[in-house]
Amino acid sequence: MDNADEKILLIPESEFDGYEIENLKMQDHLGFLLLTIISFLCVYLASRSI
Amino acid sequence: MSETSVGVAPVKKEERILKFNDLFFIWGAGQVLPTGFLTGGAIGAGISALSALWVSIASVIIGYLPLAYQGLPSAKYGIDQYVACRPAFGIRGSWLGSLLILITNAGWVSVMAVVCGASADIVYQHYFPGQSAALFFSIVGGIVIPLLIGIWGPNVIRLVEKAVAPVLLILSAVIMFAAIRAAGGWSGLMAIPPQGEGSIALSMEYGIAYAISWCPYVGAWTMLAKSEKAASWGTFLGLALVGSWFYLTGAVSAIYTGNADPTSWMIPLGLGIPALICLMGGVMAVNSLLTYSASSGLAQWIPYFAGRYKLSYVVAILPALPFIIWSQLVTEYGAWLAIIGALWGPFFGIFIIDYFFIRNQRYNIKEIFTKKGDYWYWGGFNIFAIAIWLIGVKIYYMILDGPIFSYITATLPAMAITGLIYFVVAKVILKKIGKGGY
Repeated sequence: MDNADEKILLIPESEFDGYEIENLKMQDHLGFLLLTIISFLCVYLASRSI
Repeated sequence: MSETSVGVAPVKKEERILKFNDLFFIWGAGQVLPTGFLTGGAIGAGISALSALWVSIASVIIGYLPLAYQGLPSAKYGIDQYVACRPAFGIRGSWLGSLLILITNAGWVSVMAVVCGASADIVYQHYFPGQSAALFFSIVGGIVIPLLIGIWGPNVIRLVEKAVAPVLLILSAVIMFAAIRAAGGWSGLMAIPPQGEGSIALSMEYGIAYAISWCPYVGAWTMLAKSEKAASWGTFLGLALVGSWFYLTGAVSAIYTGNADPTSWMIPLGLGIPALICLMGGVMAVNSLLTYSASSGLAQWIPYFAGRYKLSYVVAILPALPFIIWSQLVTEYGAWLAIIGALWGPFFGIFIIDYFFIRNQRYNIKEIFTKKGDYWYWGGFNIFAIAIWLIGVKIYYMILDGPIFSYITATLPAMAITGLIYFVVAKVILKKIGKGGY
């Protein structure tokens, strides 16, 4: 594998800087949490109407 | 520098161009698939139309939530999904993901091919009564034509997909309208008693397992996202909104016709041959798209195929052939979804727990591309992660076959338990012996 991989890429160490972007914010996590709560409500409604 | 060699380069920040809207439409269009009908049909078996509506919403939210998070390592560092798996599974251990995608691709392609063959056979019998050539049509429509499309590369695949996606979207609306009208309106549909064996848990499990089957594809697009917000919300909403619509369409049609197979809906719903032809077109487009992803995985797994696109494409589609001849994956579609949940749930359980809860959303990007570095583990393989994944597959089936399944379903609990086991092992063993860069 290694020979083939070396054909694909040789990254100079200096190029490893500056790849990161910011993490997701708290409000986004809260949005997904809210959706999770809604989904459990939907499961409850589904079980009531089977 | 001399040790830095293995892999596919990260995308630089300035080259990441996809905003929320872009990702939303990419995933929304990508979700326009006949497999959504099949899954919806499985969801609708054994429950009422109203329950199917709630399950369609709930299962897409719960099922696609892990995907909203699972694509974030790729977004943060601009790396493809298989590369992002290296810190958890090892630089070579991440090949497990490539191997799994080849296996699951063979299954999906064969499922779609059999649907295509059955559709074509109905049309054929309409013109040549008493004759049948379903297997022949399955192979031609499910393998030969996707091969002829895909061999020209991703641009041709995208063009075909762009042409077919709106047709299928219109078809889904027509099917939904026809099913509701044929049942005498929404109230008539509600009055149809549940048919066949089923339960809310089983329907939820089908919806969730189908959603999880998208996991291996997510990073390929989120690596191009401008922000994590765009990556998570764009992916989630694109997949969930269109996905729930297809689930519901499939479920409603299955409830009305009493059959989960989309090919059997068209005649009772009065949609006839044009609808079947649309379905066949959808199969050809989706099989070429799926095989393209599998060929990329193959190139990761066996670097001989890197730079040999046509060869890798042919090799990626051929394993579907025996499954088409066997053709049981369509008749046992629920069992197939369970296999998907069992293989991918634990795999991404380890991946997500490793990134978010053990590494606190931080990879050493240089080490991902370094031989014999932090993520090399034992000869490039994290044998603990791979062993725990195998245990996770077993856990999945234990939950699925146990009494607790009715309360918690199987894919997400198997994901969580597998991830938890890996969390303990990484903290207690791997960290202590200095493996994995923990």
